[in-house]
Amino acid sequence: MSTDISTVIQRAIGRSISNNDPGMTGNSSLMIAEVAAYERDIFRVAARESRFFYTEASVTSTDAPSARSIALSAITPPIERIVRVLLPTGVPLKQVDYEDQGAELAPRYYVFRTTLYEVGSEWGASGPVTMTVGYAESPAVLDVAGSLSQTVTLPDEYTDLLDLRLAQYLAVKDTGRDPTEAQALGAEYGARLSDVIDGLDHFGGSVRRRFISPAEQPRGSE
Amino acid sequence: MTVPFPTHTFTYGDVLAAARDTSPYFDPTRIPGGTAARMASAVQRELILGASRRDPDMFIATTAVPTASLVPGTPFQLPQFLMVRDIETFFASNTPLSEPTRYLPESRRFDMQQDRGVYVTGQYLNLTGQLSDWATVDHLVVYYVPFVPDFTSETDALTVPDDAKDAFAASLAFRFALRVNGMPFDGMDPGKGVIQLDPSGFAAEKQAATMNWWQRVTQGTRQRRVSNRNTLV
Repeated sequence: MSTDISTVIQRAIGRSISNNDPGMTGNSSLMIAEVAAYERDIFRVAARESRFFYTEASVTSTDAPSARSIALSAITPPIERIVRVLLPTGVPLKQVDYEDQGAELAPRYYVFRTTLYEVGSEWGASGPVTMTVGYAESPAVLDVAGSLSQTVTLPDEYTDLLDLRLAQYLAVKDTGRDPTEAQALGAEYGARLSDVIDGLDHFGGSVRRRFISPAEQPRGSE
Repeated sequence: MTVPFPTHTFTYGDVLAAARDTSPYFDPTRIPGGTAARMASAVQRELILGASRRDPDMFIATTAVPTASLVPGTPFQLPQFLMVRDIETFFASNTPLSEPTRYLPESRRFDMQQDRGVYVTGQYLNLTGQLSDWATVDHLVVYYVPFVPDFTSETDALTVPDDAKDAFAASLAFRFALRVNGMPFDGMDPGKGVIQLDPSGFAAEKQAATMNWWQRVTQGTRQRRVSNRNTLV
């Protein structure tokens, strides 16, 4: 992945002559923040629809006999959505709601912000526990005060989504521009995003699944 | 103390997987693990009681009442049980050999004030007669069907034998169907409609699978010599 923010901006400018005004893209901090938000949106949608950006990482809990916790805010790549947490023995932990812990059998955890908390002493013997967290990735955090040469996490072949969103933003931002331009860009983005998600999803072929779940699940090339 | 069966092949997790397989709507978000485990525990106890009525020997376990506890008027706490089948008396001198103990209802305890007998109150075994009536007794052996506690893990062994797995899974699936039928597809958006299952189909499967197992249980008793045929279905 080598596409930098500057390239995204230039491609967005290229989608309309009206974008050539330096005032449109001169605020680099704003440009970086916008591109970062668009990237997070794409990874969020991808996490719901596909396992493509999933990964695993080892994390270690606090040292205590019970009520241990695992802070996940600093994990890299960042977490978009936790899918599975495994004890060292390979036994999966079950997430429960703080108020309804009886919904699942041990071992269990509940989540406050970005920290997992142990229910009772169900994670095993006293002391720190190293677990494996399987999760959907979020893109690397971009420094809004940094340089436009920062590269995005999205694979290069999909970064046109970013300049489509940015071009749409510029069309809306520019007072007096024909509103159909922003609508057309939005429609093009929607169609292109759908194509990208299809591509991410069918890479692994058809997946066999037992359930129809109320929670949105990766489609598995149905 | 003896236990009814050695560990079998199947675990609670196997039964749970088989029950969830019966419908794509039986996923863990609709039937969480804790809920499923409590349902399955009730189903297992139901199967054990039904099988015990057809083959009283099938789930029998034993516990001993030692000499020191053979004191009329001092109840002896038994392990948790579904039913007490009978009690056997063993003598210190080994003669006579063991004999059946008079097992009375609590209301008849005064009939045995001068002789050995036992009755059960709650979870306790009580002795009738006087201390001297029990002087030659070494210990009692109580035959009972143990109370099976709830499942606490998917790796828990089943108490019912392996050939009950299909009946177990079908019975559990029926309970799942009752829970899921009418449940919104998406709890956050009831406008998407509700799940429509036919519980009668699951009930029929449960009935068929359970009867199949109980018939095997009954046929097992027929292979044994019995002095009466009261337990035959």
